[in-house]
Amino acid sequence: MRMAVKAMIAVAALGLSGAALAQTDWKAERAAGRIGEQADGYLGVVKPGGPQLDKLVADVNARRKEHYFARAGDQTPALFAQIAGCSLITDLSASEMYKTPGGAWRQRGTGTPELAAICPRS
Amino acid sequence: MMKRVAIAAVLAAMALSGCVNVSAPDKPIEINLNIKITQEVIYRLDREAKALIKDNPDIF
Repeated sequence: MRMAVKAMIAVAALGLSGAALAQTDWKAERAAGRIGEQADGYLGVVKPGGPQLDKLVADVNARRKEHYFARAGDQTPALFAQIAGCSLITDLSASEMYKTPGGAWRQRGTGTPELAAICPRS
Repeated sequence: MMKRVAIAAVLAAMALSGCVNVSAPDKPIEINLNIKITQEVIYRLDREAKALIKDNPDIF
């Protein structure tokens, strides 16, 4: 606990917002399988984990949305986000979770994930 | 929106499988153009998305 307090003080001293430190926690949640990647390019909660987990997911998704909208060019942000989702799901480690196009949560495993038809085959 | 994406996906799959069955014969040229553009769009978005993910490891 003291290490965490020291870390937070260091972060505050550097002028970074506390949100920057908290946001890297989402990767630990994803590694634990509590949250996962969805076909639409956003994070989802695998099983109910309380309001703090919901907020963590919402914060990361809000930042992703900004980027999807900023870099979609002349395509729709939703399509761009979906294509990003293809890569995000494919790059998951075997124990992490993703949502199939049918809407079921599944573990990534080591084979080819079940992706939306629009995903490029690589 | 989703319907357009679904149609584009079907057209892309048809193009990749090497056969083109024109089920809407009143606009054949338009369908061919859509197949080319859709393939190109998907691959371009894929490159862009991979770069985006790589550039932002804190949220992707």
